[in-house]
Amino acid sequence: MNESALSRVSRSLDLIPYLMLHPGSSIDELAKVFNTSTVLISQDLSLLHMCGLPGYSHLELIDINYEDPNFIEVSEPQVLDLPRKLSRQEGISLALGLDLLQAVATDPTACAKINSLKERISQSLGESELHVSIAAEDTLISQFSELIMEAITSQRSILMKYVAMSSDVVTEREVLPTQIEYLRGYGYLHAWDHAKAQMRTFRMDHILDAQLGSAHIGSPRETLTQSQPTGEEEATGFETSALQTIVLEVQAMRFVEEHQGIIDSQERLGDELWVRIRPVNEEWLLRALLTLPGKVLIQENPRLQALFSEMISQALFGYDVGSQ
Amino acid sequence: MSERKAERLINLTIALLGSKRYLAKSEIFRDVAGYEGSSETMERMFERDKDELRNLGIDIEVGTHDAFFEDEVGYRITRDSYGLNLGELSAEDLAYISLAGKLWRDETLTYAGTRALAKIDGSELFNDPGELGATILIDDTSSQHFEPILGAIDTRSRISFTYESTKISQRHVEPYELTLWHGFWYLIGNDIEKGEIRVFKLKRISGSIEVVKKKSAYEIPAGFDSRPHLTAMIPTQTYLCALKIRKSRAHALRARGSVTPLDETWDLIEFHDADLYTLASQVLWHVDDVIAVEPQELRELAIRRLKEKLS
Repeated sequence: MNESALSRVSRSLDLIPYLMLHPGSSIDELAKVFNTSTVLISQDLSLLHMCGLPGYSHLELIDINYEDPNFIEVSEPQVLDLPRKLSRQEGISLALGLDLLQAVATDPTACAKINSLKERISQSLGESELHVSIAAEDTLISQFSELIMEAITSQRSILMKYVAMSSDVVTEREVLPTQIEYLRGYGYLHAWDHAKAQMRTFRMDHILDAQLGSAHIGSPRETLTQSQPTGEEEATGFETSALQTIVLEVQAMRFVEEHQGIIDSQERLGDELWVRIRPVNEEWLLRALLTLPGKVLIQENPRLQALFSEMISQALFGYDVGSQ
Repeated sequence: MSERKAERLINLTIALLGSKRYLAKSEIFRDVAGYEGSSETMERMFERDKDELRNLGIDIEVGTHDAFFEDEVGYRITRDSYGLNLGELSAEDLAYISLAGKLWRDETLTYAGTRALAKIDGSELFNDPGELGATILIDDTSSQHFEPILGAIDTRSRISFTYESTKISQRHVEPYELTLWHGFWYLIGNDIEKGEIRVFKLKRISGSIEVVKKKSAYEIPAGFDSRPHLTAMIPTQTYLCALKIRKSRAHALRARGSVTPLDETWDLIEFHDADLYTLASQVLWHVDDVIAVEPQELRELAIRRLKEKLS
């Protein structure tokens, strides 16, 4: 509740034009849009009710009706009817979002339109340069992005060949895509898997082939959008083990950064990283640990440590160097 | 105190925005609610208020009533400088903007996007980005550092922070740019101690960022491009890589190059790659189903990583 005066001023100045555009909004709606509590919105409205042009007679004050929390309206905004120009962060959020849309858009007309909007937003900020950018990321763009987006918009399934990394098995599946998500540099497809009758997450760079399938094969759309994607399908959803404590060397910190979805907690002790990993597929975990630079120790789980040692020896045997 | 100050700042904004002419300080002190006390107190109050409103991005114009006479300086806010003006927006424009503002799932940028859309009236157009076959971008919580870094870039102020890479160190940097690259935010700037441009992963900054008060402490080189500094982290020398892959295994690696059968158990896959560090990880993922053959550096890297785990 200890909010600065400036935050209140900023929000209050934006409340009036918002209410002019959305008369009859409820306090709850306003709290949601302005990402704050209903108590603070009520206080803002009371505050605005006391403000106005010098003179401060009833003709000069902002006239705002907020007695009914479900119906707020402004009958006299004075001069605050105008939406304020975008703040730096607001402009950056939109401009970078447009940057990303432009990166994944394949239609040249759409690209040009998005680019023009981006320029208009930068100009509205009065900045020649935003000093914030998205570097073109090849990993974001899968060769199947366009096809999948078409499937999402037309609610059609796709038939795809997918290689699951942990089992190293190629499967052919018919799925109904619902969303593409980019997480820490990788693209993930969330889709309803018709054969398994459940929502699944697929790493887009593991799709070997895809083509458009039939129209709408399965579950209603409203069910599909309820999933909470984690971007860690390979790590979850199979047999699980308990929370594991793993000791890594600091040079393996990239693994920790890229798998925040399965990290319960982490602590740096000198050159070691002590990481608590949530229950995950054991096979996935051991293979992932094998790829890391530096030492890896699995604490408090001799069985898993033994499996890991066996895996290391097995791999070394392939190089004819044995385990010593 | 906060309530009174907020009320005074809103009243000052309304007064300056509602006035067609420059308002002299004496008029502001007399007419705008909230200015009380001695003239010194009101002066200090007004100076702080101007700074606060400017921090909100509100431009307060300073001028005089008459250019030919040495009149008292006055203040006003023009509707042009205050208001949002993106020009005429078509339904399609609004759809793109609406989508762009909802791509983020990161506290700072999500909130900024929502506020922006509330101003543009695009917030209700697409409640579900999936309706447009949308992409959703998620990043970590690094954008909490945006505000101090961008503020420092604006004022060209140096910053310092604790950086937790393989070593933990205090870094003093002249910030140039923030860039999202491969899913993470990076700060690119001049590392004062090292005397060269360096790239810092925001996720590795621990604690808060300290902004040095002195402004205009450095210049950002004209036409500065962060891309070469980011890609400098990627190896450029390309190697012909050969991997022995057990039949019917490692499908993703097989798809990368030409396949030559070696015997009943193994195939040889050849392709070019520069990033041996990442390739070694991909090889090791397959345990003994994939063996690095060439180049020697790759083979040694794979063996070294395995042996490190036994020591």
